[in-house]
Formats: sequence, C-alpha cells, structure tokens
Amino acid sequence: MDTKSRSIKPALAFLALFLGVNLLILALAAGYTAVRSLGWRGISDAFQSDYQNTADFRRTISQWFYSFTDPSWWEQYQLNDKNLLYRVTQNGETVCTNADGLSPDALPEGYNFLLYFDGETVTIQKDGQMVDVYGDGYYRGEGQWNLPGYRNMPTPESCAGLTITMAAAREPAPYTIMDAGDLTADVVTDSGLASTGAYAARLRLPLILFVLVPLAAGAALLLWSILWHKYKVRADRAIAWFTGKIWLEIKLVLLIPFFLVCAMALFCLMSLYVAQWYYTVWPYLSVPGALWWAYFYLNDLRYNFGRITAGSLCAFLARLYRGSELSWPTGQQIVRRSTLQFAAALPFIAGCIVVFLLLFHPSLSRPMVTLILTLLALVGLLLIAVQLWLMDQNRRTAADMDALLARIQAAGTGQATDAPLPENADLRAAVEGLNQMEVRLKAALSEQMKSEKLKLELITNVSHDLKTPLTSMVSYTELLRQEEGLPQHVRDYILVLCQKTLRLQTMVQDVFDVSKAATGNLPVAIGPLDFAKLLRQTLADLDEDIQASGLTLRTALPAGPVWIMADGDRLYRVFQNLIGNALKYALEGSRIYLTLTVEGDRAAAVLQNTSRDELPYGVDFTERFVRGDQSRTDGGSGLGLSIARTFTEACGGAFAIRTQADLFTASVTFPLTHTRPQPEVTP
Amino acid sequence: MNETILVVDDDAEIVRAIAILLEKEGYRILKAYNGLQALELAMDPALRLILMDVMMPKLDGLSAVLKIREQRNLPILILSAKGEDTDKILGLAMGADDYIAKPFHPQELVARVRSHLRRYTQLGDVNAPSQKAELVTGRLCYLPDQKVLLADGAPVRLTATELKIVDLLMRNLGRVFPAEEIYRRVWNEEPYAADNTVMVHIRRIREKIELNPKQPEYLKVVWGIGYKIEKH
Repeated sequence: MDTKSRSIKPALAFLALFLGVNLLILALAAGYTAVRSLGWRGISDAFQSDYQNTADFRRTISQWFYSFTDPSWWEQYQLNDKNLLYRVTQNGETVCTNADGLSPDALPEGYNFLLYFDGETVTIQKDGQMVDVYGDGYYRGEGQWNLPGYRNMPTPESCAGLTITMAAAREPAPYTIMDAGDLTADVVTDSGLASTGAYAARLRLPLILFVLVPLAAGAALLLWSILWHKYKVRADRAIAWFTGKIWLEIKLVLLIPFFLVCAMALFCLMSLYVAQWYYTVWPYLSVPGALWWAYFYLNDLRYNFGRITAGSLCAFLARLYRGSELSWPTGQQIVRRSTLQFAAALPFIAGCIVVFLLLFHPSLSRPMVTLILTLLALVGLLLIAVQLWLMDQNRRTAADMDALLARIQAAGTGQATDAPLPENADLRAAVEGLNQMEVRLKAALSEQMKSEKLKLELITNVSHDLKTPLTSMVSYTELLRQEEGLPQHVRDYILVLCQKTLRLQTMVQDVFDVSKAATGNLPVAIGPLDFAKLLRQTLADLDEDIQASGLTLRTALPAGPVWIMADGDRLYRVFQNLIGNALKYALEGSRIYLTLTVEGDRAAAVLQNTSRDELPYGVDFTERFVRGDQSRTDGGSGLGLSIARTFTEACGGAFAIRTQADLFTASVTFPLTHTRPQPEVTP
Repeated sequence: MNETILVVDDDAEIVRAIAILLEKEGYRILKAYNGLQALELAMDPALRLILMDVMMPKLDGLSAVLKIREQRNLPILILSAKGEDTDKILGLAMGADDYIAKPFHPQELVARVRSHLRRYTQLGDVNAPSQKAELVTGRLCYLPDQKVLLADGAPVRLTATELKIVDLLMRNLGRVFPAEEIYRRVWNEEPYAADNTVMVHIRRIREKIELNPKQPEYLKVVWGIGYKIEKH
C-alpha cells in the first residue's frame, strides 16, 4: 500500500461514515415528516401512474357526486370539461348532463371509469370490472369513497328518484377555458380531473430527492464504511490524535454548548410532527451536530482516556514549570516553589479583600454577589490545588534527598544499601558520583590489599625457602669449625662464617615473624601479667648484654604490680628488641632510661636513649627494613622495631616512636586491667 | 655404641652433613631421600632412631611417620623448615617424638638424638611406669629423697642454690613461682633485686639441663609473672 492511499483510505472511510450517517438522518427525518404529513397513502399516491387510483381522484369524484345530487347546482352550473361525463335523471327525466345518451351500459370511447347511482347505492366499474365501494358496509374513510349507501351514511331524502351516471376519461386532457363553447355557457366549470394526479405527482421528486436517494446513498455509504472498518478505525485514531491535542479544560467548557445542541436536537425530534422541515431546516442540523459532537467526545475518550489529565492545560503548565525547574539546582527548586506558593496566595488575598469591600456596595444585586463568591471559591480551589501540587513536588524532592543521605551514610559505613535512586536529576547524578567513588575506592583498596598480601606471601615463601639452604650452611660451618689441624687464619675465616650464618638465621626468623604478624597469622595467648615484673625479668634476662655494652641502664619501675592484658612471650620479644636496639645504637657511655608510669587507666613503658648517629628526619622507624643508617652495614635485620610494633599491636597495646634531635624515644602503652592470674598459678 | 640411625631428607647435602655429624658421635647411619625409601629402610631391625624431613617427594614425612609407627616403636624426630607451632603439634600427633625446626644448630641436633637414644635404649620405653618416688617430666627425672636430678638418666651436677631452686620447681611441676617467692624460699631472706638474682641461677641451671639453653623446654620464664618447670 502506498503512502497516498494510506492516508486517503481512512479519510474516505470516515467521509463515507460521515456522509452516510448524515444522509440517513436526512432521509429518516424527511421520511418521517412525509409520513406524518402525507400518510402512507399520500406517499404511495405520489408514485401512482394511474390517476384514478389516487385518493385525490376519489375525493374529486365524491365531491362531484354530491354536486350532482344538488338541484340548485343543476340550474346554475354545467361542466364543459369532457374529462368527466355525467347524466342525472329524476324520475326518468334527464335533469342535467354534458353528454346526452350517456348510459351505464356502454361507455364512450376513451372512458374506462363508470359510476352509477340508482337512487339507493352506488356501483363503480373500472375497465368493466366492479370496484368494491362499500366493503363491510361501514364508512371509515379507508376506501376514500365518500358516497352515500353505507349503513352509517344513509342516502339522503333528496336523492329519491335520482339516477346519476358518471364516466371519467382514461387519460384526462388538460382543460382550457379558451374553448369556444365555454364563453357562451353561463358558468364554466372545470372538473379538475386533469390536475388530480398532478398534485400527488408533484411530491414524487421531493420524496425521491429527500428520502429515497439519501436513504439509499446513506445506507450504501454506511455499508462501505463498515466494510472499511479498519481504515475507519485508523481515521478514528487520527481524529483522536487531533482532539487529544485540545486541552481538557476547553473540552469541558465546550460541553456546555454541546448540551445545548443536544437539548435542541431532542426538542426538534419531539416536535418533528409539527415541523415544516423544508422551511426551518437549521434547527434540524442540531441532530447530526449533536451526534457528531458526541462522536468526537466518545472517540476522544476511547483513545485518549489514559491521557485525559496529561492533556490538560494544568498539566501543560505543570510540565512547563517542571521543565524550567530542571535547569535550576535542587536547592533553588525548593526555594522557588515556596516563592510560587507565596506569589499565588498574594493575589488571592487581594481578591478576597476587594470582594469583601464590594459586598457592601449597595448597587450589587444578589445574583451578582453569588456569582462573585462562586468565582472566588473556584479561584480558591485552584489555589489549593496548586499548593497541594507544589507540596507533592517538595515531598518528592525531600524523599530524593533522604535517599541521597541514606546512600552517603551507607557509603560512609561501607554497607550496601537498597535505598531507591532519587528521581531528581541533580541528586541522581550525585548518587551516581557517589557510587562511582565507592567503586573506585573499593577497587583501590582491594588492589592495595592484593599487593600487600602478595608482598607478605613472597616474604613468607622466601624466608621459608631460605631455611633449607641455611640448614646446610649452619651444618657445614659447624663441621668446618670442628675440623682440627687447620691453620689459624682459616679458623678465623670459619669463625666469620659462623657468625654471619647465625645472623642470617636470626634475620630469616625475624622476617618470618613480622610477615606472620602483618598477615594476622600471629597466634597470641592474651592473659593478665604484671608489666613491671615483665620489664624486670627482661632486664635480668638481658643483663649480660647490658653489662657487656658499657652503657648504663637507668630504670624507674613501680614497686607494686601493674596488671595488663597481653601475651608475655610476645611482649618479652618487644622489649628484647627495644633494649637490643638501644644497646646497638646508643652513644657509647651514655645512659638508657626505662620508665614505667601509670596514668589514669593506662600503663606506659618508655625507653629513651641518645643515638650514636644523627637520626634522619621524617622516617617511620617501625616500617619494615627501615633503619637510621641507610647504608645497612650494621648487624640488624631492620625488623626489630617493626616486630616490636606489630607484636605490641597484636597484644592490644599501642606502640610509638618519637625522635627529637638525637633523643630516641620508644613507648609501649597498654590499658590497665582488673583481671588477675588464676589463683592456682600463683601460690 | 654403633647404634643405627635413619636420616631422611630430600636435600642430599643436609643428609650428608647430619650423617657426618652423627658418625663423629659414633652412630651408624642409613640414608633415605624420600618417604618410600624411608619405609623400606625403617624395617631394618638394627634401627634405633629416625630423623625425618617433612616436605619430600613421593611420600611426605608425616605419612611416612604414620606408616612406620604401625610397625616400629622407636624414636622418630621430625626435621622441618616449617617452624610453626601448629606444624609441631601436627607432627607430634602423627606419632613423632620430637620436632626440630630448620635451621637447627648441629650441636642441638646431636644432643637431642643422644637424649632420645639414651632414654630409648637405657630406660626402655618412654611410656614405662616410673617409680613412685621419682618426679619425671620428659627427659628430666628428680629423685627428691636423694636430691638428685637426672637428665636422660645421667645425674646433673648442681650447686646447692641451684638444687634448692630445682627442688622447689620440680616438686611443684607446672606451677609458676614469682622471683620474690623463690628468693624467700631459697635464700630465706627478704628479696632484693630478686629477678636479677634468680635469673642468674636459672640461666646456669638451663645450661646444665636444657639441650638448647636459648630455647628452653623445661625451665621457663612466665613473662610478667614468674618461673616454672614445664610439665611434659
């Protein structure tokens, strides 16, 4: 199907329906009027070819019959029109005639209708056939033979002795008074037969034109549109598309004239009986008008029902407002809504004041007051509607903000949330930004964790793999050491080998420990212990090293117990490392201070020493492999402080390193506890 | 003595080093380089002790220990680079008698081998019921009546003070004594610098009874509380 017929066919289908329905209405209205005014007989007369079969003919014959029974007519008148022949006899004597010798026995040439009255009843013959005049004998007007002789219409007294014979021409010739004989007659009278058929025949064309043709054409068009139903539906849709563009408010206002037209149409239909439709045709247009108007409404309802409110002026204004709102930031939206509410209320209040003043005006009539108050009420309702709508808008924005806040909160605590996405574009963008931030943060975190884990795994594996060759090294250096008869310098070499192997062993163990602690795989047995005693024990344990170092260790430990919760073995390792570190790096002959103080509910052990070398600034000494001396020529693994920190933290304590000039301060802090060791452990 | 020892390790150099160390001590050595070889050699009736590595091809050390335990009741010492406590517990649960972490000190290895052999061959089964008057923990045995401490069946020479400390701790195996209490009981004086004094003696006792004094198994410090002899 090409595009042209695609648009033409629906148009044609609708046109067919439109014309068909209108023509049918026309035909029905015209037909109804014709039936009411002419009667079925009148209508059938209009289509009668034989004039003798029309009601008009019968009426004319009946009228002449009564004229012929009137003696005064005999003397004054005479019918010169030969379309109707007559002979009236009284007691056997002809009293009036226009055709001598007319007898009921033989009709002259060209005449086929015979009426004979024998003084009692009438007999009529047409083409030699008897016509039933009286039927069952009672006159009702059906036969339209208004003749004497019925039981309810007896023959008048004056007819006694009269015989009347009438003959009508088969085809009446037009009668003209220009006939020569007419001028001599006293009174010239036309039978009127020539025009009897003409009256009925004159109605034939209007009937055909206004009833039959519209009826047929309308029916055909209607049928056509029914056959083209699918095109008609398309036309309906197209019309609905157009009517859908019209604001609902306009449609509602147009309902008023619609109802007026409907009322008019109803009135027209009810008064059709008296109407002269061909004179006052305009009111009757209200019928198809109302019909098609109704069609447009129903069609619109059918196809646009779901969009009824969307297609309103209010919705249009709301869309316009919302559209302009989108370009504002969210905060501005709320502010402007409040402003709009205020701005809408102001003129209303002003209007109220004006109306209030007007009501006291003396010239104001009561209906006027009613009208003004109604208008005011309507405006008030509209205002309330606007307020409600704006409130709803604000509620939505508030919900959106809540959703955003919920998401921010969820992002902060790292929880997943099923808070809905805000409808507001600004806030939605904010949520999306937040989500992206979260995703990136997670990715970065997992990346970091992965690399940290990888690093620690590597350390673990390496320290593990180091142990096997280390075993051989330790074993064979020992074998070498046991070898006898070697030169002194070789023995010296072996001694170096022994020392270095031992240090390597320590380093590997340190690396292993710190990697375990950093991966969270360090088992700790937390229990109550005396912090002061632990420090004393540690000092006693390291006494030989301290004595050998030539440094002085000054301690300030509380005499009484300081109970904390920790793993004794791990904490011993912490102070072993710290003191070992101090012994290794302190300035020769200087003093090392170890103090334990209780402040509030915390116990802090602080170890201070003066560094032999200048301490680099901004170095985190607890980082793995970090040493004050970056050249790494000394003996440590560089893990001592790192182990101290991780072990302290694994036990639940806090570890801190501070450097000020050459003063190196390490502090280990633990919260105090009220828990005491099990009684069976201490006697 | 010429007692036969089976050394199992997939690292041939380690097997060789251990063999040399132990042969110097006068032991006869059988060598195996995986678990399956170990299973074959373990059936030697002259065999007195097995040193077994854990991670080996074909059959790992722990499985080999399980299988050997079905047949033989002799000391099995696990050698492993896995120094974790959990690995130790697993090894002992499989039926091993001791667990030596790599890298081990050769002297300690030899000492442990000697200790186990002495207990196995001289005192018979480790699980044999002890006399009532004896206080036994692992390889230590204290005879309170004679005031004699035996390590692997051999008497340990202790000073009077050391003996008093050992007497106190062995009579209360597993119990933790604060330094002050040990001081009071042993010296009969009010404690002064108790930890330092006690620690000096403890260190000396360790050197006499422990196989590796730096990693004591019996005489232990309970940090922040006191001292004890571990109950094995």
